[in-house]
Amino acid sequence: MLNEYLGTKTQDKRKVVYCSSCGHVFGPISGNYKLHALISEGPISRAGPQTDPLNKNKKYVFRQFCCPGCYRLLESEIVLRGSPVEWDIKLAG
Amino acid sequence: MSIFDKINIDPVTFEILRHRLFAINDEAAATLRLVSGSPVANEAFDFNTGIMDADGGVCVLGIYIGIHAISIEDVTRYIAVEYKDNPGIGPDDMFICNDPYLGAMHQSDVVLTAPIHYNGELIAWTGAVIHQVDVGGSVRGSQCSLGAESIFQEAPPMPPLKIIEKGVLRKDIKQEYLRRSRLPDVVELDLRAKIAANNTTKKRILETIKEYGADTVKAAIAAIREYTEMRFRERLKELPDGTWRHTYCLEYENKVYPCHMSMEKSGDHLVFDLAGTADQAPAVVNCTYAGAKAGIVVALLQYLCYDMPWSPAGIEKAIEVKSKPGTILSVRWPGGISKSTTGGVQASMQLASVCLGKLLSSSKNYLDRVMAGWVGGFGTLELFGTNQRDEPFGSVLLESLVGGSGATAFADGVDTGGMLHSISCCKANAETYEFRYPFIYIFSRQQTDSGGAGKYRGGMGYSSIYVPHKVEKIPWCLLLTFNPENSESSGLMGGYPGGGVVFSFKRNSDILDSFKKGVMPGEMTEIQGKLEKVPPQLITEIGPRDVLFRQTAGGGGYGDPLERDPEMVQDDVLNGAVSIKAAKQLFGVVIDGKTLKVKAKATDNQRVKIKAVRAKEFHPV
Repeated sequence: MLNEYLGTKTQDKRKVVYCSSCGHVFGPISGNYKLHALISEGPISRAGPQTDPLNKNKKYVFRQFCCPGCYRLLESEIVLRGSPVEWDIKLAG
Repeated sequence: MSIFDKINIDPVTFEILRHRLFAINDEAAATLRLVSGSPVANEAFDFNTGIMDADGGVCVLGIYIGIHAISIEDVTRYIAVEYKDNPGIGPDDMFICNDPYLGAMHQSDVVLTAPIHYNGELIAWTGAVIHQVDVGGSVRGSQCSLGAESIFQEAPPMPPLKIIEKGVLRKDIKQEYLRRSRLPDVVELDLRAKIAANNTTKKRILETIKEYGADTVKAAIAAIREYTEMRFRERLKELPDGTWRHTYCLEYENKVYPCHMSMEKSGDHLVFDLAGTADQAPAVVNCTYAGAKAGIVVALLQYLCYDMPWSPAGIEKAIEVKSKPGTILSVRWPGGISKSTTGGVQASMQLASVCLGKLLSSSKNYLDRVMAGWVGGFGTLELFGTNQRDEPFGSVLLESLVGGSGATAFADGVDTGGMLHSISCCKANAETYEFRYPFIYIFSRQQTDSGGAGKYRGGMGYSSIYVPHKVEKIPWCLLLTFNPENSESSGLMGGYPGGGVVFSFKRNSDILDSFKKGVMPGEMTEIQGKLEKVPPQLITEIGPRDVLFRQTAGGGGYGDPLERDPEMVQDDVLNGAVSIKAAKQLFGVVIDGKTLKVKAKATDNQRVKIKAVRAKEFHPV
């Protein structure tokens, strides 16, 4: 498995990543699951009242990924505006 | 094959001696705390002690600031090789050093290391490090030499000097060391504290040798290293192979420095590759290769070595750190590094901890060891001036140490749980600070809504308000963060990042009028005055009617916040960890404003509504 929310299984003779909640398949484990998820970007104040309480942020965005099947959140991160989607988990094999 | 087939000591004696050595090192740390006169050491515990083998490898590390393992190790190894013949390493010598290019994390972390001889043979080393309140340079406190173009405008680095020779403290070297400090009395007492710590370890180890024999004690020290390496490699073998990546940004003098890590795990080996990390800054924020390694080692100790001896020398053969010289995480001479501990070192620690958290997440057997990020950024506050007794004072206020810890896969993070790289650091006692320094606290508390939302919530950060007391003003106040817009601790599995570092002033406020009326404000918003948003790096003064607010970072959350048990959110609201507004917006839990109970049906509806918003607003990458 990639983590508690993203399992791996063999499907049509290839190993794939799937949502452990709804079973949605994100594609082969040899690829970045995030590229097959849904994405949202917004101001970092969306992460909580104390994330940018003085409204100073200009350079960063709050980026989230969720499952297209059940809309469960898979990743919530603060990243530089315009930065590429990071391939954060790549299992061998 | 058992480890005990490979080393020359029986298992029972090994267990007795490794615990005894840990206790000896802990006694040295306790001695240091008792002798030191600085709240940095004896209240906030920004120091550490360690015992090394004859080659300088740290086999026993104290429970305080973990990055100092590499400080004492690298400095000692340098001395062991370079000083062997000239000036020589004799019994009852000690060497002092704060050169970051030889291992000290930054110039403020001064290492004192001592060889331990028995019958003329070098058996081991012991070392101690304390963060000193001032070691000279162009800026009070020595850490934040804003505007410096290189290390030459920072506090001067001091290569290893034999400050104790044949048991005698050399007056010339001591004077050379203390002369540069604005607070030589405090620094001298800390020097005495480190001498006392090293003497304690030497005395106890020599007692142990008399009891067990030198060969057995040497074998025990070597076995700690071997045993740790074996256990560490076994742990790695149990975890999946793959590559994990993370990016962390530092900001200094209005420039962003992205730092990248790719952690590749293969069998029983880990490679940390920092390729792509930004080129070095002129000064202050960079760290050396040793600093980058120290941040990684500390993360490894916390995430993977929680049940084995903390012997950095034991795990070093199983890891590799690749960092290109000339980058912010491997500065090239004469780049400055005076605040590396909350700059480059912090970056490498954050990068490694997120990668390691995700590695553990990939193993069913280690899910209970997963942690989200701790204290994603630091805010430095230093004050210098004349106190209420007309005496000079100065210190860093180490309350940034008490951020929130990251949530785990089964529990919330610890509120104001501390830092990843110290399991023992504390916020100094408020009364101690008020007694020593000319300010009082309006409040000192855990900060509502600062823990990252999640199925399990990140630990709350800390906040406080200071106002000058019994002085006309505090003439020198430094406020600094390298994460002005992004100091949040990383969440995992959809868990939200924790709240960030905040500094702000209310200038020329009505706080003294409130005192006269017997009113004690509970929030910054209850104080009238001119709000001043503090830039990332600022040196200013605090006037008699100014109030200063500080907030530390909360821990990252774990899992989708919509999966958090509503009863837990209710408890959060009752305990002040989460506001009613955030309960609804982030967790989808509706709390009745009067009864403070969960409104079950409204909560179900709110959670459906949030999912509907996701369905509408999220889009394919």
